[in-house]
Amino acid sequence: MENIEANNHKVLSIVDLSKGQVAVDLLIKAFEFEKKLMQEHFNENYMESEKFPKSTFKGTFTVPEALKSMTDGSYELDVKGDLTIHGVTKPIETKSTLTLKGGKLSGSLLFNVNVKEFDIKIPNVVVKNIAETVEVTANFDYEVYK
Amino acid sequence: MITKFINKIMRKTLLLTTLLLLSIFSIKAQDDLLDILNNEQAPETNYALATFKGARLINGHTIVTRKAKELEFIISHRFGRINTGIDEFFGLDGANVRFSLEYGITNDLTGGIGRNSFEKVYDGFLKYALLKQSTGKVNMPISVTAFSSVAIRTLDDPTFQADDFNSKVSYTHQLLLARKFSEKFSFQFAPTYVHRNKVLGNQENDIIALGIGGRMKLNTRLALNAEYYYRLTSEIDPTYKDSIGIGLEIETGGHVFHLNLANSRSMVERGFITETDGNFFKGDIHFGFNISRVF
Repeated sequence: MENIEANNHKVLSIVDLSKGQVAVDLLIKAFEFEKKLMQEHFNENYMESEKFPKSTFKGTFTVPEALKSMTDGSYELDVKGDLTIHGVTKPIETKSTLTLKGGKLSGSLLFNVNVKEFDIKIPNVVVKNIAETVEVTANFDYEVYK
Repeated sequence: MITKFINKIMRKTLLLTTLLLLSIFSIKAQDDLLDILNNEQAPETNYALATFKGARLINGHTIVTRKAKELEFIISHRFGRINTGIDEFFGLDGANVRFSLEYGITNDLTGGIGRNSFEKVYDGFLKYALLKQSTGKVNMPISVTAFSSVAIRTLDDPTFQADDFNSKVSYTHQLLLARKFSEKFSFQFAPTYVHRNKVLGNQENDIIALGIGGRMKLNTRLALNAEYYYRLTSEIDPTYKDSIGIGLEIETGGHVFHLNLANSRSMVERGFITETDGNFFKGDIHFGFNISRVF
């Protein structure tokens, strides 16, 4: 048994600190696996990325006053929103951290995805090898959007 | 209970990490945030995924190459003819086996060696992916892979008068052109040149054949494969026929299984392209299977 890890470096995110909105947009095919065959299976058999090329998230959070006034610090936020994977949209709630330091904003979050909820089928023969829950972590560095 | 528990902890966790490329933060965005991101995504080259699942369609190669450092082990069986009836247990009494090891030297270059028990043939091949079908930033309508193999027959055949090393060798060169037309259907055209150093009777040393083949996906795990090699030959000997095969492909993670029905006995290019002797439509059909495992 092994831990399977994939990285996606082509993820876009935007936050609106005045309204407390956040969005994430990524291409499923941009996930890079160490084993290319796994990557092919991930795209073709599980994510069906020809049919559902993207995954998105759109959420809201309450903006702390200190963050609104752009005070340096680390802010833990409760983010609520809609996560779309494999053409299925589900509401999720997660904790996210936004850090403001010297005018630079960065964010990180961690959440778990239950594969079944997004209508991703795992055949019985490989059910022992593949996790039902996938852990997703994300790190973003933000710039001012012009 | 205990085994169940162990299974549970040993289960793989699929960990996906998303990292930044470009991210943006805005103080006063008016539009829908997802729309903004949609417009910001840079154009990507979108390569066709899994035009074929296996490196073989039935007997012949597909455009598929192994990725760098992947090792594939293929075990293939071809049984006798189904129409030999119950005496031969519909062909299952007589099996030919081919083992092969195929290795991804780079993402585009694969080399392989094999041994086919039919005529005791050793073979080696190289295949190179020249073009890859894609849309988006780079638009390429087809995938093209070049293939070359050498086969050495080591079975002593009394009908061969000269039995020196040279006369046992044959060469095959193919240009494999394929297109994934839709999520479900892929097609391959394979112009082929076979050179046999030594032939019997009025057979030709050089044969050109046009191979066509396709894969029709039935669901995410199952597909129907078919292959036909049309020989452009002036051989008048009616012994030899064009190779025809159909098969079911079952894919489970690192394994690909093929269950085939074909009129060819050999699994080496020279054998099935130029020396197929079964009449498919009269029931000279060989059941066979390929099992592939990628490490």
